Amino acid sequence: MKSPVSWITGSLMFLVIILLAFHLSATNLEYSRYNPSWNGTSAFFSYLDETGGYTEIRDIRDIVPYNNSVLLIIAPNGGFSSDEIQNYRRYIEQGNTLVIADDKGKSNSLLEGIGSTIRVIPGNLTSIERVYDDSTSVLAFPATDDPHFSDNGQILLNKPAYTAGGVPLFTTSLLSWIDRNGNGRPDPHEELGRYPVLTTERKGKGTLYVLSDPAVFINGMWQGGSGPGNADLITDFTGSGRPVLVDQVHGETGSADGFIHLINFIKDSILLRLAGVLLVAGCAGCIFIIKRKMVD
Amino acid sequence: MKRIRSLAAVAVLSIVILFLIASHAGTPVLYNPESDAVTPYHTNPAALEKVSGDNAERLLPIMSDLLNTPGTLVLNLKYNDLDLASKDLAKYRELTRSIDNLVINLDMSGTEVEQFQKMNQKNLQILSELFNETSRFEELRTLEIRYKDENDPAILTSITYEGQSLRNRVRQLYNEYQLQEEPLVEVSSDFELNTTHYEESQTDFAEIVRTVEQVQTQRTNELQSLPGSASNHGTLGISVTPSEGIYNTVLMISGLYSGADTGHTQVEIFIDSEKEAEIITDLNGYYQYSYTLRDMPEGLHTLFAVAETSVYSDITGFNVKPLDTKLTLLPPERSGGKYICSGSFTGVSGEPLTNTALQVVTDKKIRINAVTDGKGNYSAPVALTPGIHTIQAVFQNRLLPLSPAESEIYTINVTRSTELLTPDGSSDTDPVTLLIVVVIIGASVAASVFYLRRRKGLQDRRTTRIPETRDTSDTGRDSSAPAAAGDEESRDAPLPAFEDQENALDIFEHLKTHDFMAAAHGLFVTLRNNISVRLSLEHSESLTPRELCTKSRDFSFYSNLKRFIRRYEIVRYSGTLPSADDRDELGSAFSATSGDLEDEHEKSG
Repeated sequence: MKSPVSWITGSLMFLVIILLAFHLSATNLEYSRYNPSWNGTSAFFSYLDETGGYTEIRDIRDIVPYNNSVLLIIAPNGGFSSDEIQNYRRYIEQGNTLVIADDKGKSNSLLEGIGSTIRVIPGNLTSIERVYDDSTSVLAFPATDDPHFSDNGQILLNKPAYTAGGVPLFTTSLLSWIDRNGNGRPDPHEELGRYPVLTTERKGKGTLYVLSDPAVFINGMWQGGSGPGNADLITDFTGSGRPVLVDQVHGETGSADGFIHLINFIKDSILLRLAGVLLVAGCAGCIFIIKRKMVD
Repeated sequence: MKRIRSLAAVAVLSIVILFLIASHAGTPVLYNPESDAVTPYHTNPAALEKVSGDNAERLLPIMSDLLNTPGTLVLNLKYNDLDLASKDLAKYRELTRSIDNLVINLDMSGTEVEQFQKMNQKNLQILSELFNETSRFEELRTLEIRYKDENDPAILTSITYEGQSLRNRVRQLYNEYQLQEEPLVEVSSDFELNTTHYEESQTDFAEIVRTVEQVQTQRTNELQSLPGSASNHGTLGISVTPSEGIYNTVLMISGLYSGADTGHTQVEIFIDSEKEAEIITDLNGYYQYSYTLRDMPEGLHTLFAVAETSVYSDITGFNVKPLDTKLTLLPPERSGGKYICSGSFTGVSGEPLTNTALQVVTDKKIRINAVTDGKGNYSAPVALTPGIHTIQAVFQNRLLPLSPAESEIYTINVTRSTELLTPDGSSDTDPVTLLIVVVIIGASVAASVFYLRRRKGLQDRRTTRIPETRDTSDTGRDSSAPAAAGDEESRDAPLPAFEDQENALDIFEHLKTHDFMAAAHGLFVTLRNNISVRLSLEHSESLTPRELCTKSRDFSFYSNLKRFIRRYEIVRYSGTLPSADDRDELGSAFSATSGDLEDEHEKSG
């Protein structure tokens, strides 16, 4: 019979281990799916889980077998190899949908590689038409007869860039400008005008969408901070019943550090996974043998 | 000394912490979304305030209305429907006010929206004037018919001259309105606005000018052919030199009256059909008048004279050209809680522009009026709230022949500290914060006083108690020992010395059968007091058995004391009742230690 002190100590240690596990399984990296704070994308991934699930792509070769799916690259970090670009190109041309959400222009090499005319132009896109008291909380409006998007309400963006080329589906209002000096107001050399923020293009049998703001997927925008059309827009991309793939190789949603990075690293390698299983089994065996000897 | 230093350090630390807490007492939130609201990628919406989008949504429709309204206004003027034109003008004024407010509220100054707004302001001025001139022209037509019937050439001459003045003005307005067209259409097309109605208004305006000119030409011809238009009272000449000038140019208006009574005849001079002066001719009928170009807009102005004998001069005119100006603003200086903005307003060649109203504008929104003095200098006090502000002096008055001017812009960062004192020097600190600080300090002082007084009282009482009662630091049960002994007098006994050891052993023997724990503790306390006195130990009440043992290491009673302490700790802390042998052993260790102490005392004595 253990004493109450032992029970209390054990319970406290259990709590500490649980808290430590929670702490280690979270990160504060921008856009990371493991980041539960406002700048992570954990809520979006929970939404995907609740609405039919999704597949994390950790090797670009895995997208090639699909022919009617949606691949999301949220906040791409660049570094696309020529083999990967070929795979993306095959993927889209065989009837899939590729959605790129980028505000840093790091997807431009991919866009060029797959033969798209669309480019992401980084810049401090700012507008009078806003929801919050911040000039970079830009509202965008449908600019198309495409029934998928024309019925959507306004979408709210958060420090977006803009796109060039392709067919604009959403643009900002005329009262928008690139705030080059960052003073939050239009200056004489900062021309007012409409800026496209969601653009599309057909490639082969597939469709490419380029959204110039990945922030529509972050928790802060997802949890009550978005515009009336944000949810519709994301449903348009992911809610068609087709398999949803999320690129965790080039999308920053897959970024992880510390403990999570280690776990992901192990998960990504069959050999390491096998080694992990053997290590756990070996530890358990050792403990069993030591206890047996102690009893004897 | 060491203790006082420690207390002082704790006191200082406490005061610092209290002040730190007090400074945050008004905003007790430890974390809020604003703490980490902004990253290079995005801003946390939870940290932002929602704004009404009404202003932005209204802007483009208002701009569209502003382009459409002149179309109907000018059309109604063309068809002489002054009632409808008046309503259009009121609507146009309302729309212009709305866009003025929007440009300020949306901070759109310096943008194409502001250009649009300024061009519309000018259009409003032009069309307001056109409305007035057209209305007056219609009145003249009515008067003309009436006085034609009465065959009164003097009145008809006056009407004709005023009509001429109106024609000049309408033509001038049209020229200004035409100049507006290209830039306004260009800006409007950037906003995808339909400019059809506005462009039609240009055509209609041109027709109004044509109509006015036709009517006026016909009127002039009719006047010349009117029988009796040549006055029987003589003729009145008029001339003006120079015929063109700028602000402050002095024009010389002169002429000769010849008639029946040429000398000392009163002549009235009219500029733009408004009577400017009454002068008397000299004996030869000559008159002369100096007129300084100041309070009139640039452009053509009509001039004629009328003698008291109803003899009219010919109608003539002069042209006023705009003077280029220069407006300076010195760096604003802080004085008495306000910033004094001063500078000068001159022509480009440095001539001072006196008694002229201009404005000092802060943040391109708030306008404070200032008037230049006799040297063209001005000064205006500006009150600024904490934050970053811009200050600029501007001049714009299209009723004067002076070109618009703007000074350089100064940016001023007004910090809270500079705003802490109001102009009268009194503190501007939030009274709630002050109250919180005062309450915290007051409560701290009161609590400290209460504690110190209570502590002093406790110390006073302790000095009169028996050793067992004083020893509360060892365990909570110490105070029960003397009570258990049943010796009430011992509560007030003085500090025990060596001679108390036998008394302590008696108590021990008495208690050891039914409360051994208290009995053992009584022995320990007696030993501790005796050793403390012997070794002059400070704070003896707080010494633990082991500390007592350590401090006695170098003395002869150490080995017996160690023996006593070992057994005492077993009795005291194990929680089990010792055997009879252990109890006796404790008593004998006490006796041996007490004996050693006595020997030590005698040796040293």
